[in-house]
Amino acid sequence: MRSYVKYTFIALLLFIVCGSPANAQDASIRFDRLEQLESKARDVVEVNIDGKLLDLAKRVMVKVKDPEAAKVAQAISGLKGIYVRVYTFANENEYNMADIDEIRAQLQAPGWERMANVRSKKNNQKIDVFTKFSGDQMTGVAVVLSEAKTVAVVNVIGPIDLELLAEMSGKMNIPRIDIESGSENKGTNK
Amino acid sequence: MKEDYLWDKTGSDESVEKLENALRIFSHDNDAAFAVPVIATAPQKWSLFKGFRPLLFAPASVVIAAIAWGAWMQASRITGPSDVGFASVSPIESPAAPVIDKFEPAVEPPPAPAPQIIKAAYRPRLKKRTERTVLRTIPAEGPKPEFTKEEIYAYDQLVLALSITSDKLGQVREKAIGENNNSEEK
Repeated sequence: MRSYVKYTFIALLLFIVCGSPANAQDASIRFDRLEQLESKARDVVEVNIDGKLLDLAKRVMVKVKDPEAAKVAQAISGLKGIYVRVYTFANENEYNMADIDEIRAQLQAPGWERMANVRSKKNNQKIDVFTKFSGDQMTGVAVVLSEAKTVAVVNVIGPIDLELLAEMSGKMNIPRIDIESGSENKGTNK
Repeated sequence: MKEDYLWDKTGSDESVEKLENALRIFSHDNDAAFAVPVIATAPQKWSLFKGFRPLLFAPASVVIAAIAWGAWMQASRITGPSDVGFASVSPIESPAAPVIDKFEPAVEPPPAPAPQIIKAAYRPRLKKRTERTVLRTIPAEGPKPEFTKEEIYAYDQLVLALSITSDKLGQVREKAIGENNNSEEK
């Protein structure tokens, strides 16, 4: 009887330990469908940061003696990964809207909540912001933007201060990148 | 013979007459009127402090004491206990300089230090203070952190990702604020 309780406790412990990263990974989005846009797009921005690379970047951000950088470092202190895809096309309607809808469909899964959405007839703009929570803890954010000539998807794993990040747009050493206006090559956009 | 010559010159007294004749050269003219010698004095000017001069010594001594005390305090502040050592300084340093170090408030109030001594103590103080300021500012600035190529690459990637994210979030925020303003206007 005693061994039965012992094994149950160990199994429960393993479930908790192994279940936590699984929950965190749940906030990730599959970008497979977007890869076919690379050949059509005029400009492509692809950023994948997690694990050791993210740790290095955080370390640098803390060491940089800049008050704005310190704010951002605090805002992303719990960040576990960030993945960005931006495709800019030379002409309108060069991409298939179904590819973007597939991304939006992923975000209809349980746990994801649409925090904000913007619809504008100008440039046929659609912006959706989704968040995922585990209890009170934010585990992920997704931003999906589609315009006449631009598709952008951002997937953040882990908690992040969205309000502060929105305020920091164009500030600090973070350059404001306006892909539509064609000024995306300023700053660190490589 | 009358013997009163000594008293009223009646009669004669040879010895007295001889003595009179010997001392006649010192006698005065009996006919001249007696006059008290008059000493001519210049008219004195009237002065307010004439009668109080002794009293002026008190404030004067206080002023002198205050000046001496101030000079002593300055000398003791300059040469007093500090982190600046005399031994390491100055070509001007003379054998007399360490004596200033030994000044103690309880001991007899020293006279105002000679200007030469003050200079000798003050110059190195200024020099040391400047050096100390430099030493303070260098650690405050600190060495600039050096990053590896991997760190810089990771930072650039993160900044790029965050810039795109914040830009998109900023767009949503602006739209939301614009919508709120429009609804308020209506």
